[in-house]
Amino acid sequence: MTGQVSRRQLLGTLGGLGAGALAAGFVPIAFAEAEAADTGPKRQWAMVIDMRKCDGCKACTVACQETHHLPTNFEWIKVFEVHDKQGGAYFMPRPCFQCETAPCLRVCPVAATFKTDEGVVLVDQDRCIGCRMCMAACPYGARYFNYADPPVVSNPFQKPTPEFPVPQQKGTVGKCMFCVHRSVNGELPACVEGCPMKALWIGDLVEDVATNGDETVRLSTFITENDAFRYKEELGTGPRVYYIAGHGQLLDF
Amino acid sequence: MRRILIAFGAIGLATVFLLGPGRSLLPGSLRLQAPAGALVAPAPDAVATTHDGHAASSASATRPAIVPPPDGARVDVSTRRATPAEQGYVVETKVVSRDGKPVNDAVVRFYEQVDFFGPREELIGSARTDGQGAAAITYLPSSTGPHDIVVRFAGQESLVPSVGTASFEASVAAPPYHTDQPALLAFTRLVPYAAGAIVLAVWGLIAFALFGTARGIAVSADQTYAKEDTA
Amino acid sequence: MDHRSHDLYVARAMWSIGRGDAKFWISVAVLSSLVAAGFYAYVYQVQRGLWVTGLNQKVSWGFYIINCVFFIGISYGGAMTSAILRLTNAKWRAPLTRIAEATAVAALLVGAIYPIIDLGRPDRFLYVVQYAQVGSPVVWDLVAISTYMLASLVFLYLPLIPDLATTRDSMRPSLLRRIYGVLALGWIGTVGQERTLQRGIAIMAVLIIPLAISVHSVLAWLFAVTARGGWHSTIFAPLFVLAAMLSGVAAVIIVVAVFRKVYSLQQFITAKHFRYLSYLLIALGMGYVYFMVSEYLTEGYLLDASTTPVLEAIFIGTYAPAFWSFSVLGLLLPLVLAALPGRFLIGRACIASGLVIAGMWLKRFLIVVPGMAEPVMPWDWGRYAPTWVEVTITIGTAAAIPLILILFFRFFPVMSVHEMEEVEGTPEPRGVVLVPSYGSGGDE
Repeated sequence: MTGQVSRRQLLGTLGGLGAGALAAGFVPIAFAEAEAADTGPKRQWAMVIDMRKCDGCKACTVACQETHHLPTNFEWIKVFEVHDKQGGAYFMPRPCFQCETAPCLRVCPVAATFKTDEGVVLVDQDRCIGCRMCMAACPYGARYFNYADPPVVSNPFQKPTPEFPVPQQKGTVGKCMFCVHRSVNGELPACVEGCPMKALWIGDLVEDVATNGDETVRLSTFITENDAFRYKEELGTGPRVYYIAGHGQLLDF
Repeated sequence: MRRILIAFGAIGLATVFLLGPGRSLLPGSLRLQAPAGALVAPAPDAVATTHDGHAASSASATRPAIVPPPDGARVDVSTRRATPAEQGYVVETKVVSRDGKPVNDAVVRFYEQVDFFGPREELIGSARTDGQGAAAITYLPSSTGPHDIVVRFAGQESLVPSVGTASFEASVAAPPYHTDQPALLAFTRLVPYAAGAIVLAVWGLIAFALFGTARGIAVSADQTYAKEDTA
Repeated sequence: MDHRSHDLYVARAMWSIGRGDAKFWISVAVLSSLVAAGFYAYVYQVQRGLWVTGLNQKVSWGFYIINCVFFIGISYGGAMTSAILRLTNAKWRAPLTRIAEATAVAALLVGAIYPIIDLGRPDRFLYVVQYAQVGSPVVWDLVAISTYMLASLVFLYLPLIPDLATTRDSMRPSLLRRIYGVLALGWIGTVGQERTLQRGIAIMAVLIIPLAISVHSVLAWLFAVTARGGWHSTIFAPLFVLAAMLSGVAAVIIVVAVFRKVYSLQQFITAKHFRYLSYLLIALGMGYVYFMVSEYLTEGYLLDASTTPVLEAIFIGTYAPAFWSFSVLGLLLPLVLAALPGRFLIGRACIASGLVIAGMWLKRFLIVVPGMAEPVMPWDWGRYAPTWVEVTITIGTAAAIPLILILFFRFFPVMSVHEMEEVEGTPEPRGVVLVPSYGSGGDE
């Protein structure tokens, strides 16, 4: 083998290309997080789920599915019945956790998943290519893929937007987005409003307030005084959903 | 008779004015929430106190006016700067019955009026009154600017529930919420540039291997032919 | 190499060009119908949506991702074997490199379409270029696979140039001859041309190894960057690379054996070649065992909450039959078969390779599916069973590899003539290499 490449030639090519790469830059291409994390006066949505009050009725799931015209197996807020080692059982509703450093956001190849300046992770279904990488990356299983055609929506003029992705598009991914289409109109998220036990609280981290529709509390105090925790916080995803541990003990029948 | 008619008319107008639009603007859930304050014209003892010379802000248009019931205890509310100042404000209240006796050992709840999915009263603390009928909490607002405080006395023995309000202009507030991004994330943003440079270099090498070889073969063939021609 | 064997080598190498006997047409017909069936299944899937597959909300990656990793892995062996043999200047490489490089390209073409088959919206595939997010492993995949494919094609083409000239010179004037002429770039074998060509091949041989490694590393990171217990492992990238090399060398052994038989190359591809390839297979297999032990030992020793369910499912649970058949039949048995001394060396090497290939497919299944099925909210396991659509597409694409190879060798020499001359030396200088025209020399 007499593979001879002039060293100068090779180095020159490499150097030129490297400089070119840096000069041309990757300006239009950037991490999706670059646009995230605004600390302005806007809302930063959060949720508190009081498992002391949840009786597992799944009214939240139903309300969500009605609002977003979802089939019954699309549980954007899903209620898990958990049996603990002590023989007890409790119910754990799981919406999307709207993580601060969302793993789903980072892995999306086309930036179809993005974060609003109110901290809500949305999916642009006009952009989504359906690779399902985000579903693999989500540590909470909060994402749902439209394998089949979504149910027909009664209003044929409804045009889906990331804030109100109704009807869903086949071949793309959808998820809970804290009902941002409702909050702009001053309406509570469908699940919060639909919860008959008032176990779900929607909150704002900027104004430090949370409400379940009946009562309104100071979010930080509420979290601290009730020892609220964030699920799988150790993953470093910074979930925006807080759980108050319990097993329905605050329910009065 | 005429005076009675006028009085009725005035009350009716006031009711329509306050209840009518007010109701329609309120979500149903909020109406369940105001047990003590009646929605009638302001009574003279609803004193809005201010400090540092700032004028008290008036409640926003959508907010219901909060008025103590005429037969309730008197709930005076005042605010002052806490020491040290970073702790925010001390919201003090004094509950005194109609006959001037302080109401002691009564639970009072402190709320702030907020606009969060409509006007709501955000619970910011609760306390028990002492022998003088006084209670206080320390409150660090989430933002500077005007704040409207409502203190609700839940009632005790023969005393019906009552309410008092105060407004103040906050110049100290809790640090603004910020999202913690891992510091390494900033570093990882550099990685794509390095990777991009490597990728471009590799593409360049492949192109060189292909086109350089093709050109070299063509050139060498020409040279050979040229040699043959001259020979 | 004397005149006679030299001429025979050339004759054998060019035997298949333009030849279409009954066996050829039957193979093409059978393989094409399998490919057509796979294509039909894909059209069926595109029209109806991905619900026709066995994929679901919990297990959202299945056969397609497994096959993507598997086929690109197969393509590795070809590229790596050829590159390594070239760089180490192994004298025995001449009859093998062409088949190895062609296998690499064929398997890569098949593997690279799987991510598109897997997409929910294949019509938006180009969005990956248009809106590329450099932070996404999917984009890394796109860049790495396309670069590797480009390099593989160039790596196949460059050593082919002198042989294209040989083919050109062996033909009567025709349109086809002119196409060969254009592709041969005016190669006449001057010293300058030789030097230029060797430089190009050297660059590609050096480049193809890191590129191949990068492809499977990136494929591994597709899994390893997630927070799933079965996937989030630092050893994944080297594990994937080694698995790919192992299955790739196994594929080269089988392809070489088949072409040796069908194209009557026994005189040039001998037991020696299979022995050396077996050594390579054994070395890679041992390496793979070591990596696997390292992975399972560190995870199984700590038994933390996220990996334990996957390990249980693999070792003693639902996936235990698949895992143990992979470990015993797909890894240990082939290594023993290939390592044993004695007779039937070629047959044993082929059986071992077949077992390794099947085993490596199972291993990819064991990586993708249990890792997906393990519930992220730890209360209900996912299930996955492929439907006829996935199976048909898998068979169709698998059939596409031999089809591509058969068609490729209908137009190009199956063994590198130029390389043989380079290694063995030409018997004596000749102006024009005498090449038997079509049909001569294939029937000895």
